[in-house]
Amino acid sequence: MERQALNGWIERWQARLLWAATLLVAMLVLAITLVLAVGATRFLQSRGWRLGVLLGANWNPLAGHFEIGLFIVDTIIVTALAMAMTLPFGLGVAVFGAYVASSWERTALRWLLTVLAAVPSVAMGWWGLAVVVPGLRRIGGGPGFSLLAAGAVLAVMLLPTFGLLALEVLDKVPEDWHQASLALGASEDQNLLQMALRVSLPGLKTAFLTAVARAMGETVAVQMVIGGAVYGFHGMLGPGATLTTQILTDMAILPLGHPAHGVLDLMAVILLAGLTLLTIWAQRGDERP
Amino acid sequence: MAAITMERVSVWYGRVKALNDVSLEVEPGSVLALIGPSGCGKSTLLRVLNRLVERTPAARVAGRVLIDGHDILAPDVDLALLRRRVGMIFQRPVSFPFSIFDNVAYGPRLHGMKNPHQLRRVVEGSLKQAALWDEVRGKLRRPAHGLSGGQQQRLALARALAVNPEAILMDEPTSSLDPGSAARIEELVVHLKGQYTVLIVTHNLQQAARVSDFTGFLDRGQLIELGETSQIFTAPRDRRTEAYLTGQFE
Repeated sequence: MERQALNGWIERWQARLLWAATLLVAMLVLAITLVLAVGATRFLQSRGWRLGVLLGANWNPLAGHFEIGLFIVDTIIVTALAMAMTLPFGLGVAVFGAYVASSWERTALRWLLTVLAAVPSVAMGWWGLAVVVPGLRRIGGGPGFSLLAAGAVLAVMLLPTFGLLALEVLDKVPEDWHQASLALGASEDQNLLQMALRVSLPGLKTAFLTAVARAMGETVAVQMVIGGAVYGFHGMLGPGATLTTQILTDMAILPLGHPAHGVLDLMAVILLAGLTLLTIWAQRGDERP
Repeated sequence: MAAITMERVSVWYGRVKALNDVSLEVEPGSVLALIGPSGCGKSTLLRVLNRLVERTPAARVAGRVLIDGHDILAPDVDLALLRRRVGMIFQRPVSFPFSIFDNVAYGPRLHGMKNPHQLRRVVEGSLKQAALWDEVRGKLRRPAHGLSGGQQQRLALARALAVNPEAILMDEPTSSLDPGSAARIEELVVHLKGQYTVLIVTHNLQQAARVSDFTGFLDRGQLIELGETSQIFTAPRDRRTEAYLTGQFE
């Protein structure tokens, strides 16, 4: 009887602990969002809620100009470039791994992708400085530090993220379905295109959006190769700056307490909102019928 | 309707011999039931006929298999064409996560049918043949996964019929279904007789007796006995067949 009472006591406390852990997470999310949102709101208020803050491209903190439109555009461009390069390679790697590779090739491929995923972003940026930037300078002219360089470095970083996730998705297509499809006279290519990829589409969408979210949030590797130009748009082969890299650049001249510190909060809030939307969208795609 | 002949067919999975020197003939338009204990090679025999056996790693096939006189084990055989002529129904009903319509239209589309009117006609015809039409008419755009197990098995049959095969392989098509659904599949098999050559693997001896013209008994990869169903069930020639039919098998 006493033992039962003890067990009951342990169970009650276990439940409370787990509940407290969950509460802590919820409070953290709330606290982070709140701090950023308050800073962002105050900043917008000080600017009289002008839309130009978001749409304009005049950024000169020392002269008091804080328009972040260029960074939003550059973030979108760099992310799109990275995804455009990652998508075909990642899909190719995943299809090879799931349907073509022998079992040792598949193991080797998984291992390679995992190693690539583990390369720290500063090392990836360093590689970009040594290879991508001079390469682009030689091929395209210009400084080499560019949106395209940032996109290329990001693409390499996203390849394992997207490739491994896509590989998992394709692996999950049941053997029964392959056999049923082949038994109807599908060639291997038809089986892949008309059955396997089609049924994997929701999962591939999730993998893709997860990679997009990573691309949007990546900072150091991008900062090292993008050139950090804040005046105007210079094309794909010209330098630029994204929301993340500009927060990194200006956190020193707009420290906490500075009247315009809030503009960095605003940039963080925009990133956070974008990533939250992406995550929600990605999870919706994961529900299989 | 296809005439099927197997001559001294053996199959190995790695070093394991799954089928041992099997020779048999199936008359066009007849139903052959294959019975025998688990792991005796019944499913392997079916999978030789559409060469799905080659999907198993390290599988090797020896011997000759003729369908309407053509050796289907020859290296230059067009697998897509072979599998179009020889359809297959699996133990667990397989529906793709598409609509009912797209499931049935999958095969015809593979083979290049694009005209929507033609596709509609084929889908409707196949669903009628598989006795599913009355239950799904007007709901063809709904997901196939919403159907019951028995309906999904009939959908699989409709999908196989939609590419107009000459022979149909059925690998324990009713073993995962409730008795009512199983009975409907059996009715369909009887109905298909004469239009298609049917090979059906089953663990249900009564089912074999009810639907088939001929019955073959396999044990440990060997075809022990094959004859008219009435003869096999009333007067088996081999005592191993008799032992299996009377439940005295080890």
